[in-house]
Amino acid sequence: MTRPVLLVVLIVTTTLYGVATLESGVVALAIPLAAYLAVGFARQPKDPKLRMERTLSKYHVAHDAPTHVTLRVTNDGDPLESILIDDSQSSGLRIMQGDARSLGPLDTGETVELNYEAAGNRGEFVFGPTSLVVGDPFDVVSKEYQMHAPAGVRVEPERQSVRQSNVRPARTRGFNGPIPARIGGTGTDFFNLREYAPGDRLRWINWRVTQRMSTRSETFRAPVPSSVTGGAEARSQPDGIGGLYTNVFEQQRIVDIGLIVDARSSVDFSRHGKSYFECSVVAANALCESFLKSGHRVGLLIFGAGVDSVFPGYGSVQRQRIVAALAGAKTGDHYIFNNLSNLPTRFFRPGSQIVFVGPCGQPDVAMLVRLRSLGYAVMAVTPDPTDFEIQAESTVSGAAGESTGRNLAERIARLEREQTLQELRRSGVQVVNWDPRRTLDVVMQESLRSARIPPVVRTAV
Amino acid sequence: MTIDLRKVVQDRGSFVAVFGDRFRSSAVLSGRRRRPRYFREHALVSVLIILSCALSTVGLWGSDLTKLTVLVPFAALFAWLRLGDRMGPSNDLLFAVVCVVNAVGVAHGSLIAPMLASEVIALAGWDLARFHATLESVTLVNRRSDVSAMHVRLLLVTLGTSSVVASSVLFTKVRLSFPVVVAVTLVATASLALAIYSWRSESTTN
Repeated sequence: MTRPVLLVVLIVTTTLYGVATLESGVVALAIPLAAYLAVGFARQPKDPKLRMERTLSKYHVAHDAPTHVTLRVTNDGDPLESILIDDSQSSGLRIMQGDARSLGPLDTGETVELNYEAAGNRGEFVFGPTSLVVGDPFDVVSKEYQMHAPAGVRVEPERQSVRQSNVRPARTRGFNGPIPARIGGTGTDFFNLREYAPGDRLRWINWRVTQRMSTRSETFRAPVPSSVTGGAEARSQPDGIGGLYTNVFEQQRIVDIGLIVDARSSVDFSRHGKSYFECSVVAANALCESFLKSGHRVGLLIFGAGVDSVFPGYGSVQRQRIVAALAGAKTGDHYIFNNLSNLPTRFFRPGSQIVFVGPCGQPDVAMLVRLRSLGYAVMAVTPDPTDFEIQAESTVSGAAGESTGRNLAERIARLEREQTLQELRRSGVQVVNWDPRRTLDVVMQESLRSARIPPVVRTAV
Repeated sequence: MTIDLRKVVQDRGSFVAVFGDRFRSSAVLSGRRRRPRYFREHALVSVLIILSCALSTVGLWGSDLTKLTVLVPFAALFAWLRLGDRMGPSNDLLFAVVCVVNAVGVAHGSLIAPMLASEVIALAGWDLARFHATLESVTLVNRRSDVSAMHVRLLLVTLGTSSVVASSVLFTKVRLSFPVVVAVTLVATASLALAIYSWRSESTTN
């Protein structure tokens, strides 16, 4: 029951009771209540004319980092005796410090300013309407208004740093980079030997091989290829510069990398407010940063309720695009993606590297193997769902029998998962089984150091 | 336990509150028993409610309803217990009970002056409880002293004027004709029906 209703009920019942009992004293008791109500109604404000603007110190913030919000409300109409400004519920952000609610009078032309710091987890947050309650001094008649001062802030996913990864796709791009291209040229790693040609640098001459070959040349002389003789007819190797051999180095180039993030809600789960999908997003963010720092061309594909994609590109602008996509990523389901065979794999360049981030359940194995057979180099970075669940469940204590059952279930789940991952490894997929309690970098270095580089699958594309 | 004095000052609103905290138990500081930010005003509300109950007791004493005075100390105790949290329907309920008891008491021959004073004080307590609860819920109050002073001034003027009017009604014997009484009754009934209707519609909306 609101205040005016309570007052009216009390006034009327007292008055009626006084009239019924013919007691003027009883009617007199209703007079203070009536006066109070009358003053409240008499001083109720007219419709206010307010202006509101909001500024944020940062529109893109890191995970859990605060942004400073300033909200200014200016009164362009009649003076207001009491106005309550409530901005605490306008966004999903947590208020860390400062005032998001203000109360007080507001004269004509006066401005009241709210300053507070807000932070949140990953996501895109849009500030919604601010509640303004204008009332009389006794709060008998109050009116609530909603005003919009639109602004939005993007909270980036949690950051982890990952060192350069050991990826070896079949195809590389033309620019220099960190990935060995299986092509001779300038580089740092030894690739092959060839005979000295005019213009080769002297430091590239392999003197040991030259010496060995000159000893053997007593019995065998290899013909000089036409490329060395400048198109002249091939002839027997003469004495002199033709007996020198130079090292050929492996060219290092950048590659195309496609990140695929599994955002199907059917494979996501939450335990104690922590979502498994967040681990996937953190991993994708870390890998994207690492690849782009190395100069690679990176694209992103998030599939769940639909497909959210970032076309492959380079540099810091591309990084911002991918971070924006990851910040806004949400889980969802679509019947098309119940089976991963419907993934638009042509989005990525043939022969490029694909990094799949997700739980990698048994039904997903077929698709990853298929990608591999199409000539893509595939890496599966999979936050371990078994560890994630066990870690969450271990906080809940149970009875002794229950604990035994849980241990057995845990063992079966681990065996099943290990079998799935083994199947992937046998197909030439690089697997990084990430326990989210450890840093991704350490796990990647351990997993990829011991794993052999999968052979290149040559396909007719 | 480390106390951030700046934060405490910000939260409590006054430097005195900081030194008050230094001598309070750790249970209070750890938040198990929250002390209101505007404690003086909070205490004033409770005092007003208790005073109102006491005046009602005085008024009822010696009338036909002397037995009802047994209930009044309970109401006072209830008011004291409400010190921790004044908001909510209990505050409204207490105010309504005081009004009803006063009206019934006057109808049964109790002293009118203490009853009127009790009614006015209960109204003041009810209003200030609401006002300070609103202040309590807001971290930033612009020109707080001005707001409080203006509110108290307006309340005093309203209650003072209405008390004078009520007293004059008591001392001036006004005789109303039958049609006027019927008209007053009809208007009052219509108002009551309207109030109940709006209350019901609010309940269904919420």
